[in-house]
Amino acid sequence: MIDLLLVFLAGALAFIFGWNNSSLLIGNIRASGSYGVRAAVAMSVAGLLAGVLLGGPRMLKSFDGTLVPSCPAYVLEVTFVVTIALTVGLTLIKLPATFSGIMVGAFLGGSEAFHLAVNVTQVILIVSFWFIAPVVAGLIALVLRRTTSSLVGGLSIVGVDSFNRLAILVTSLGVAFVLGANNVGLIAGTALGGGAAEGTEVAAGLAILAGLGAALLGRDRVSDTVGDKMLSLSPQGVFAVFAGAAIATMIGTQLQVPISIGQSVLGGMIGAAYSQRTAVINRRVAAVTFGTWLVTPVVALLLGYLVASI
Amino acid sequence: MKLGSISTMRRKESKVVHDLRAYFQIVQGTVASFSSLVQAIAKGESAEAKRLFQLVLEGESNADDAHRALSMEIAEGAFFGGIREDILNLLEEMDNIADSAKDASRFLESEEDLDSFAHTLLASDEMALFVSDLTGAVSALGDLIAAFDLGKKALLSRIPVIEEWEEKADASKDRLMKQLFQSNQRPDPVTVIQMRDFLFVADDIADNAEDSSDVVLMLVAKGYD
Repeated sequence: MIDLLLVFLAGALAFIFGWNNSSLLIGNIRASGSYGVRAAVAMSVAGLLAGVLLGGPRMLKSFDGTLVPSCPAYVLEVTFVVTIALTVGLTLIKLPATFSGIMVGAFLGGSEAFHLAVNVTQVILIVSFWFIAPVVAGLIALVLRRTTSSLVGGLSIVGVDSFNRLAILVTSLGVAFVLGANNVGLIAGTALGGGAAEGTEVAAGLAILAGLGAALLGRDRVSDTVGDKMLSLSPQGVFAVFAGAAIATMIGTQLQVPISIGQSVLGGMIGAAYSQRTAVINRRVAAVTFGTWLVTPVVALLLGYLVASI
Repeated sequence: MKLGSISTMRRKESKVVHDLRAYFQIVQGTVASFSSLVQAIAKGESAEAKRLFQLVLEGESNADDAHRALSMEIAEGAFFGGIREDILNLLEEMDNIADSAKDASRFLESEEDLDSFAHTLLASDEMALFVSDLTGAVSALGDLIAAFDLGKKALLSRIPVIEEWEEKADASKDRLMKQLFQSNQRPDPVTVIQMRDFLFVADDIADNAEDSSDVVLMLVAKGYD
């Protein structure tokens, strides 16, 4: 039986998630200059839908069923409320929110308040993967960047543009797919308490809401913080970063680890930057981004504990 | 967005490159008319000079039209991501080449008003060399644009050639300036000013060709990075 309050909160979070990740879902496709707005939105919605329907089931029991054997609906509601509040707050002050970090923190805080038995091994796996994923993405991006640089060198200018166009299409769909599979799958799984008969319809609805959030509100400057302000990349560089981030996030999905693709993207960007002889990275922006990612899960945990204790 | 539209877009991009080459032909034709105009004046062929002057004006006007049409074509399409602005800048620099050819030609418009000193200077070997350097720079730009089909290595190897032509043109211009200001013939000051300005403006043909190659260098750095 579906808990309507949980589904409502999940819908709101999916919409906000789309907004916060609009730079990844739509911004980079638009910035590439190769596709129009409608194509970018269509690609992101298609990727999100495919991701949540094909890869999402892996994440359905990430919280309720894996992190804790079973939990009351109130803990899940607290998880959603805290995640929504923190994600909106960070998005409004133009900082990239580690959506999955916040959600995991809030869930663990709520679970602790209710003295639920937390699967410590899974917690260690999740936290470890938050550090491993950027490294994996960075290595993949480094190899891809070097490979593509030598590959496109012999192409005509039209050939290079065709390569860029195809690469952006593939990686944008890939990024939307993993965001759908991991993050929207996690939201769906949390809303459905680990599973329900109507899971497919709910998950598809959440994916569409995330796409709407990206399309309707995705004109903020979060994309600048993650991308342009830290490092300027060519279309081939963006391809390497996105491909590396998508692969790292997909590995996390297979391990039922909630992971923010932004973390993998940051790792990918550093890997792509260091594949070139000269790399200039805005270290201050990188430090702020890393710092935010370290602090927000802890803040979410404390908030989750406090709210659940009320 | 249909997947099939990628091949359609490739056709549009190929058309842009094709049109860019056609546009360059117009610019190069304008510079060729300018070169012939200087030769015609040097030979004292007034009627031919008038015809060639009109050809320069028409060439520059055609280049303007082609520039406008091509810029619109590029601005309205969603392709050449990351390098679209550089392509638009390249078109602008190419247009400047045609503009310089026209502006330089204007100094020679009233061929009958040029005195014997101006005629002598225009007929000198140094002037022939200077004009040859200018057309050489533009011709090298044509080779660079042809390399759009060949890839990064070919593009990078052809960029310095334009700079070499531009430096040769600069050196020729300096020698002509020396002739202009150190002549024993005591030329009319108005002629000196007129010919000095002609040399400066004509030299812009090579400068703008070099600027075009600088834009191509940026385009390569961004597109093939």
